Amino acid sequence: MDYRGKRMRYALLALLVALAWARPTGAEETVIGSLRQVKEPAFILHEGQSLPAQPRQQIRLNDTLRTGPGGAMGAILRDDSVLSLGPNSELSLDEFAFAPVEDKLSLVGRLTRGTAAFLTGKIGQMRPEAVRVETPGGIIGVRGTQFLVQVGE
Amino acid sequence: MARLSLNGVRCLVLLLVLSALAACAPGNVVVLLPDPEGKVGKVTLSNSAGSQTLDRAGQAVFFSDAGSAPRAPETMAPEEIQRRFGEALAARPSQPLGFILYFAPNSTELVESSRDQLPQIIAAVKRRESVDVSVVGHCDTTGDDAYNLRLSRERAETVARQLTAQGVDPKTLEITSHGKRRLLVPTADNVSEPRNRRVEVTVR
Repeated sequence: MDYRGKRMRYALLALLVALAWARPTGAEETVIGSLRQVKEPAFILHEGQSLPAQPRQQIRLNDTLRTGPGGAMGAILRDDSVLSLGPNSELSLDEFAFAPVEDKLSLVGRLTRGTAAFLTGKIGQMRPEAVRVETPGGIIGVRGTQFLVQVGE
Repeated sequence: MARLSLNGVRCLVLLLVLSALAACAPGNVVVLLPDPEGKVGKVTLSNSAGSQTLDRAGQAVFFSDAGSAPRAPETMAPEEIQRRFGEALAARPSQPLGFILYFAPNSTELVESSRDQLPQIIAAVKRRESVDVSVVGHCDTTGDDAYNLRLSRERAETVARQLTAQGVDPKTLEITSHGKRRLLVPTADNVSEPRNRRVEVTVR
């Protein structure tokens, strides 16, 4: 391979690395709801930083809600979904889109441990198949209702 | 020596019993409840080994890892639901409060009865200390899409201005508009319908 070919390859590699590194800007900062009640110990993980959760704090896309022993928290999302966590629980909010006019509707949460209660909101009414809760042992699909999930240790 | 190996056997038996118990009591469970209006929907738990659907209140499906089929649905007693989920249930926030404000035809002017409702909305925001209020504008079906998207946006902004003038923090407002695409009362195109000319305010 000649020098130019090599240079091209490095340029391509650099581009791929840059693309892999870049994350969609703005998406992380999208407000998707707010915390209502908080019982310590409870935390919000935002962009890799764990901060003590406060009642009436805004929640952003890709935030993770985490409670310790005896902790609990409750939140309302912008499509009027209501959710709450019991102690020693962890829920990440991986997808949230509520823009009916642009036809963007989705809500995906991942409960990795503990207990949670969910009441589906408008996304669930408009497009039930766009709502799901993932757990390490299986995926929960929903048709407009309230349900509880426990993920054991 | 004999004694030691007896202990070893005991340990082994204990381990086997414990793992057998763990196998018949999977650590994960989904339970279906009625919604606040008493309506019962459906939830389905699926993984690579199978899928189970719950459609009755109080039904539960136990499951373990993604490679093991979920068990058949069974009923969970209210005491057991409370034992497992009492703390999560106690942390449930109260439901969001919704208000609908109506407008004069082709106008951003509120009808009188809706204007009188504004103080109630302000009071709800303050009482709940809400940090998330959505203001969504809508139209009836008179006029084209572009016109109605603009008009519904202006309606939402008019209401938002009145809320912020009364002390609601603009940072907590989410202002959107849906034009004539989400009718409250379904009508044909080009129908003047007072109940569709509205702004929906939700205080969370």
